[in-house]
Amino acid sequence: MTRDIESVVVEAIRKVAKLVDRDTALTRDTALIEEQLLDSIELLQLVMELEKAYGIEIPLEELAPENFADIGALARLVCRHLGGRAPER
Amino acid sequence: MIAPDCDVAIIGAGPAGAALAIHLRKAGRSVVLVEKESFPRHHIGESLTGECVGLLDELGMSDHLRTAAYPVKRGVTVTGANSRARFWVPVEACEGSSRRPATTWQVRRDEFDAALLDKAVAMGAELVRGTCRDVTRDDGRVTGIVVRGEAGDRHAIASHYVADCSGQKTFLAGKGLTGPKSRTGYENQTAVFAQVRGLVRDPGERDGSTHIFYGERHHWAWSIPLSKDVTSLGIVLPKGALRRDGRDLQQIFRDALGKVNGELIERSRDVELCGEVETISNYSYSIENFTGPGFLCVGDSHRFFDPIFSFGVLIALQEARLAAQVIDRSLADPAHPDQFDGFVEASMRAQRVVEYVIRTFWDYPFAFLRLAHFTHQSDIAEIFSGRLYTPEVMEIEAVRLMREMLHRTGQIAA
Repeated sequence: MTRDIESVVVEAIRKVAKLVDRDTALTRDTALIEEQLLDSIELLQLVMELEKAYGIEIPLEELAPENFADIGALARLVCRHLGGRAPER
Repeated sequence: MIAPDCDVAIIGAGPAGAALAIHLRKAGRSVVLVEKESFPRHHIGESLTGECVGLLDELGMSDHLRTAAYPVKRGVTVTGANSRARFWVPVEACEGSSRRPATTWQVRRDEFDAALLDKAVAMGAELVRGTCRDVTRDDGRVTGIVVRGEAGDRHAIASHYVADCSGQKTFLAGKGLTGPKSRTGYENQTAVFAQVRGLVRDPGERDGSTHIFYGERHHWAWSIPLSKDVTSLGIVLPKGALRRDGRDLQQIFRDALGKVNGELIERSRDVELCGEVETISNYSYSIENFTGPGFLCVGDSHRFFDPIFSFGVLIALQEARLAAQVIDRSLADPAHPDQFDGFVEASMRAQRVVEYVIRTFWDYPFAFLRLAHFTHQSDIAEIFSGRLYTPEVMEIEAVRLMREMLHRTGQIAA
């Protein structure tokens, strides 16, 4: 389940992040904030892309750095809001 | 009871005291204003919000504002740790549900406060130069103040009401008349600030705007233009980050400039100081029960939160206006004195909104950025303008979203 979400996250990152091009490797553990792949504005654009793609709404307090740390964290964030299905690790 | 010398004795002639005096004089009430300093005097807190314009017009200050050549403020730029995490909050005028760009001013407080006090005196407020030392009481009711004049003489001024406009001195709280003074969570901050030349300001017509730079939680700086080339520049850091370690204030200021935000470092490379470096610590507090029999506290004299969004003068002017209304009503109805509930409610409601905004900004910067830059730009503009004093402020959607979030996270009570 999160594996599918992860690929949607990757696709969305390629759409919003200026510093990410086709050659940038993006995996579950890619550190988005630490590596400065996305700035704050792009991170929020990314969240909004994911909200639109899945028809979910992330509560404001969950817009926190720990939920954006890497692609896996973002996928788990989305998963938690898809009706409580347990994320596949 | 001795016949009072005046309807209202006001302690402190800063913006809260002078504005209260003007409103009361317009209502035909007699006023004594006690001020220990000789104006003009220097004061920090130069930025006005959009709502100040109408309030100052009411006070007869429009001519002063137009002729004083203060920088025109069109909005506030906020820049985060990454310079692309930037948003702009315009000053907007509100006509029904439509909004249009508007402007306000950055005021040099020595000139501005002196002009407001001159206006109060011209309106017939009696200015007494001296230091308020005490209040007089009769059966639990405040009945006036005791003033030590410049020549060392002490005299009592009897009044129907006493208004504390002493600002951060919190005079009546110091006399034990109010509830206790409590901390509000930003008391460990220290500000170090000065007037400078050579700071790179925002380009074009945004030259007169406020710029807030922030970095780590509770690390921030302000840039507030004061004239064509002089800018008020201040850095606020948790106290530990500003330990003296044998440095003088100038060195502390220079070092602090490098600790907030990369963009600020770039913009302040050629900064020259053109005044003393000053510092303030422990400035955040809240005082309960700030009205009582015969007295009320206005503006900073009962509450000071975090100055980041420049609400200081706005709160002083708004509370002065509301205080004048409730005092006038109470004076008109001697059988029912101290009709202060409306003032207390409006004040506390506005202060709560300010608290929601500031807590969200610091504790949930991504949430704030989402509201301010993407989803609720005009709500945030409305709050920054200072339209905080009607019950409807709680219905603003961004206010509701911040309140509900802070409630869910346990940072505020329901």
